[in-house]
Amino acid sequence: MDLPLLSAFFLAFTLTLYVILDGFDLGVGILLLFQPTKTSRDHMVDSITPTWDGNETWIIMAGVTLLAAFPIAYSILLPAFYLPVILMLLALGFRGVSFEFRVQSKEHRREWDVAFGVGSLVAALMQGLILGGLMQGVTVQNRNFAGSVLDIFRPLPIISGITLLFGYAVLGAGWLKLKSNESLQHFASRSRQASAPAFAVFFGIACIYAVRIQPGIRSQWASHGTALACLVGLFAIAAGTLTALSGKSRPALPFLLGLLLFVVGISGIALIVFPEIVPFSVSLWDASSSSTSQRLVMIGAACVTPVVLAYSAFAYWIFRGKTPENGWEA
Amino acid sequence: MTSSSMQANSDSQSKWSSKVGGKPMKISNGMRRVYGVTAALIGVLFFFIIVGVFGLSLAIAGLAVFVLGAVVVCRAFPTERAEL
Amino acid sequence: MKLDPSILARIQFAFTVSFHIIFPTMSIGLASFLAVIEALWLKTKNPVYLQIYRFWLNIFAMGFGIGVVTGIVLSFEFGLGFARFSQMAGPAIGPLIALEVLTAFFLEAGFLGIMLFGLHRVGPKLHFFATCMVAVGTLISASWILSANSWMQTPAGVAIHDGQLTVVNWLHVLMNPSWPYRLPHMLAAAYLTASFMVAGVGAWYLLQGKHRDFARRTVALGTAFATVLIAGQVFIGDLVYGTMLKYQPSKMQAAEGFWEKQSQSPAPYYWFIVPDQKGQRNRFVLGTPYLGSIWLTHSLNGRVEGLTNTPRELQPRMALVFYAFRIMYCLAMLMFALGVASLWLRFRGTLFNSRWFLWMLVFMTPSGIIATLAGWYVAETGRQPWVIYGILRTVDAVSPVPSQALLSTLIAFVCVYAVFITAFLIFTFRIIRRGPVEAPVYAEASGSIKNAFRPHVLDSPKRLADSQFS
Repeated sequence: MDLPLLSAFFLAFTLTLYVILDGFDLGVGILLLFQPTKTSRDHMVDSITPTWDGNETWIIMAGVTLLAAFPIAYSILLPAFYLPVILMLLALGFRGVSFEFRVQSKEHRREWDVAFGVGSLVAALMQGLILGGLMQGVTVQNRNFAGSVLDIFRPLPIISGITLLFGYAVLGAGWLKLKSNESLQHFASRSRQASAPAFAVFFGIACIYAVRIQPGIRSQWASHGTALACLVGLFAIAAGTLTALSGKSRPALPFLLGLLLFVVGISGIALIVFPEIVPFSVSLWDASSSSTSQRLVMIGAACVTPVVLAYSAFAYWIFRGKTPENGWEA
Repeated sequence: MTSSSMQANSDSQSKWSSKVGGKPMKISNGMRRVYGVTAALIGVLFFFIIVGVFGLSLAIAGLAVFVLGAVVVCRAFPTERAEL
Repeated sequence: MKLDPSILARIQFAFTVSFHIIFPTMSIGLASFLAVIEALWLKTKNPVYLQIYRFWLNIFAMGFGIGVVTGIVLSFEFGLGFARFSQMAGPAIGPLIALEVLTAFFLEAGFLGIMLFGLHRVGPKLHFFATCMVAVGTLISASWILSANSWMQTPAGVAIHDGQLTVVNWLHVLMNPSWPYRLPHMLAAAYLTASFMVAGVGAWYLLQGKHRDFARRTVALGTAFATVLIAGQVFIGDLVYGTMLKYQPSKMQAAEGFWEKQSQSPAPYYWFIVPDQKGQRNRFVLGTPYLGSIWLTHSLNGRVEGLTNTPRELQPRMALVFYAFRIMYCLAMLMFALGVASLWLRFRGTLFNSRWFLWMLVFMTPSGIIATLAGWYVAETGRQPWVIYGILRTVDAVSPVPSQALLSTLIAFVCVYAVFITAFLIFTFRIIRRGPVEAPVYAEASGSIKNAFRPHVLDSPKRLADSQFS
């Protein structure tokens, strides 16, 4: 029973769930900034209100799993990404409180909507920045972070930030098509058609640039070239389909294609990063805490995660179908 | 403060006579104040007992008596005429 | 000017965690209060209970949201400000917090949506279940996090080897020596907070002569709960005191304001001191004679141990611990007094007309929050200079992050959190000024899982109106 490996799977699982679930939440938030009609904005927020909290909780799960199972990686990565993490936390904070505050304040709803949108945008950007910073590599010395907090503000992380921004917008557009009424269908389609190609293009730039600057990535391409090429191909096809889809497609298709894009992207990243957890300096096994800790996390995860998924699915099911026109209180 | 408590006292005086379960008895303001001060002193005593000044076993006993007493008072002197 | 990163990291964490704790304290208390209210509504069908539920649900929702987002900050802040602490303590507290997320956060979050927005989507019974699940979630959450923090205070169950911590016994880590006392202490604090909040708002309405039914009910419930809770709380508080005296003597020495190795006999109880940490003495004291011996040694002439019993470099700052403790304790005594007063006034039948009492309740509305904060300051400033008591010092636990980064992000936090709390207060006062809204009379509590299968909107006012005339 390779506990570090199992723990890494669970960590990857929580991160993936977060990116997908909060991805469309943040995506809707980003798109909010481009929606001029007040009632449409209300409708957009209503579509994500009942389930956003559960979605966001997966990032806490990921962070805490990192602390529990790979404390050395946690203690290296967090100081390394100090500035983007804090900016992300503040942005998520604004997004989170805006859910409640915009409802309370009728005169300033527009301002809170801007806070909501900007919070979502900055959070997405920062998450992309962190991903890029991870790929770029972090200066480690003696199992401690030894670089500068400003290392993150370099081309690759910035490109990754923009990539993720468009990626979340794609997910958000897909969600809106699924959940919103007639009035927003056109908006959802236009958003999708704008963000999907941008997502693909920036993703491509990021991949190429990453290979250029990080020898670790180059060597992973060398060893897993075929698999990675297939993933890139799949990504391109899915992105192309997404762009070309007409507005009359099945409601769930754009969202599912968006999910596919993310699953493909995450698989690619996993292939490149494994078996390191702090690319490209510290391996999973070097960063692990003792087996007693990882074992408890694994037992807890194995027993409780199915229950969590079950009642989370139940909650989604309660709020299934199109979002009601006048919100949930009517 | 004195005038408002006087006000409260005279309010309660009229309430006293029509209170559900209470005896329609006339009590002077002086007696009322003695009762109030006694209640306050009993409260202080309970506080000292519960924080363990007289030992753990007495603290537990004191806590139990206080909580029981509170529950009894809350149920026996309902704040609504038609309690739930 | 070079600012010490460890001080900045401490200030930043202290600020974010102090701000955060206000909201879960309210949420734990209000969630259970809402569960009780909804149970009363389902049982009695009295619309005033639905009114109370909806009123406090609004405030609860806002507070819960702020609690969540400020809480996420903390789970990352361990690493951001205190990377060396995270590396060391991760194996012990990491799994505890992971289990907290798994068993509590997801539970609250999963059912919160139904609780806030599902009143029309699911039947009353399923909705009540959702409310209960949120309340249970807050309770479970408190248990795990108190265990983690208590482990930092009274570590157990771990072996240290080469600067690395390995857990040898999870039961000892979880049920470390201080946890069984600190958990009920925190829970009672949360429930007290909600009781006084609820009673205070009700008292305000009574003084204004508005919303009488709503106000009477909330004042009655709030004071009843508060009375029972404060008695339990001072009892548990004394047990916590005894436990901390045993495991962290330096904390309690600092808390009482004595410097000498053995105080005079009989010892006074200090209410006000001007301590001089450098000179290891007090410049000025104000105390009640005998009371120190009585309360602290349970005898008439016992001596209290002073802070000089602890070596200088291991001493916490007396001023912080002392005053935090006094604030908490004085508020506790005030709460107890109000509890006794409420019993007396019930007995006399004047609970709702006693203006001085009602004003006291209004004044004490935020008392639970202040007392809880003060108590946490005792716990955390009294723990210094340790971050894991006896194992790791705070100064050795900091991240390799420059002071400028720490300072700028501290300022950012202060500004952003200022916006959050200002908005929260403005909206809360607005809700209070507006008062409880007339609750629609709901159809018979016929809720069942069956209703949840029907995707139409239940009990909307239009449907009710239609059904009444059908």
